[in-house]
Amino acid sequence: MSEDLRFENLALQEALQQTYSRNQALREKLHEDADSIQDARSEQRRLKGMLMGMSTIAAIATALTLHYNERTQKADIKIQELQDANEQKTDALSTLARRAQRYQKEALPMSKNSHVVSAEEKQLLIGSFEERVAILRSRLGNDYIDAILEQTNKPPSAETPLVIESDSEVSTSELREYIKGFPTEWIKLNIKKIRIHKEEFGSVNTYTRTGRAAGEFAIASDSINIYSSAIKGKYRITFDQTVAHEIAHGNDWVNNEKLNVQERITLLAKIAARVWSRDRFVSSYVESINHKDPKTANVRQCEEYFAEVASAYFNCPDVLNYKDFQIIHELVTKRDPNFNIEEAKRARVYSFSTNRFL
Amino acid sequence: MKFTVLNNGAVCGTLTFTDNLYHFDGNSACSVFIADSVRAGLTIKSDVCVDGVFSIIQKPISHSDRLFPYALIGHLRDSGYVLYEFLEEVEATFQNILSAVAKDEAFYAQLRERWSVMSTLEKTYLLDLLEKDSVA
Repeated sequence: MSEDLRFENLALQEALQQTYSRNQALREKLHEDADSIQDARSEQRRLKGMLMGMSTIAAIATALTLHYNERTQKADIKIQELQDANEQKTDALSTLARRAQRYQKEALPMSKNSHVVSAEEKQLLIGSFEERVAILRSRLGNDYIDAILEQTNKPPSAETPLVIESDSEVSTSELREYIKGFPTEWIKLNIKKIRIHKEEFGSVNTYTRTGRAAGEFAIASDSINIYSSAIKGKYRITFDQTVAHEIAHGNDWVNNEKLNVQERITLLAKIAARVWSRDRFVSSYVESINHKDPKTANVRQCEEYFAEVASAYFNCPDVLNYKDFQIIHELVTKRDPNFNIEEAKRARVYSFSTNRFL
Repeated sequence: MKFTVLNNGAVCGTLTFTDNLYHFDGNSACSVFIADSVRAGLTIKSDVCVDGVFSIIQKPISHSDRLFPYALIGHLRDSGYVLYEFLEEVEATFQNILSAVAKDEAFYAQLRERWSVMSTLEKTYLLDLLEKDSVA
């Protein structure tokens, strides 16, 4: 009997041992499951966090999109308003002109007080080709005029794609869009490369040792360098003016490859007549020119005057005398008849994806 | 030299230069801006051409320099202000037209009011139209 009980006890002990082992295994499994659940919960929390982050980003993106859409709409409305106002002004001007014409007979002769045109100025504007060349020779020097006349047989250089480089915060794609806001023909043949440097100023290596260059145009390579000082200002005006000024240099009577000799001399004569006129556009670029040789000074004044009035034409034509406006407008629309100043300005404004200038 | 100074399309006042001295007659914000700019020191932008390279340079300019007025004009333009130059001959021509239409009071008033808000481009364009018409 005791033997039976011992066997039974052993069997029970064995069963207990097995139950204990199973229990142990189940506990371990339970721990593993608990760990898995813990991991799953952590993953769930992480995913929830990500989801919330993504939702926040999505909400911000939606808000930004709405904000920019609203701004774009406002800008479009403002542009439309300006265009309407412009049209109204043009209509008002025509009406005024028509009504004023009725009083012409009673009005004192316009020439009595209007700008006194000197004989030289008159010759430059309406004289024959030879007469204009003679005046220009006497004021600007034979070498300069001969160099222009010799360009008759110069073959136009091959059209090459415009190279755009930037080390600065303005990207090359932004700059490429920006350049589309200028007459196509002004860029296509006469400007080969535009580069924006990260350096604040370029170096000027000669008599202007105290000066620091914000923009450059190199005649030999038809390339423009813009330095970051032109971008860093609070307003974009400096950048706009600097780029337009340098592009204009590439399109004057010396550098514009599309002009024939007649056109070069005509353009130079028109600008010269304006430079020596009392109602010329006031610009530091022109007034600061000082050279011991008066002919060299005259040449530089003409070149700078052209670049300045062209820059004003693209950026703020309202400040120009109509005589200056007409010179640039004729030059631009001769080869780009569809060029529209306001549309071009808008294209330049929208070319920057960031709001660094706003 | 005399200029009408505008900001965001609104007239701020009149800037006049006499013997290198400036006088601004207009709103206080623009007046303070000009005074602060002059006190802080101005730079003038010019373009030098060396070995076929045109370079726009900026140089400090003193109050007594003959280029001071041009430095101030340039500074205002770079700061978002628009300057319409007061062209004496253009204004005188307009006065002639005005005196001729004095009998038509309504038109006289309309013409004078419109003239006061016209830009340099609009004024010179209008006179160019009239001049061409009188020549024709």
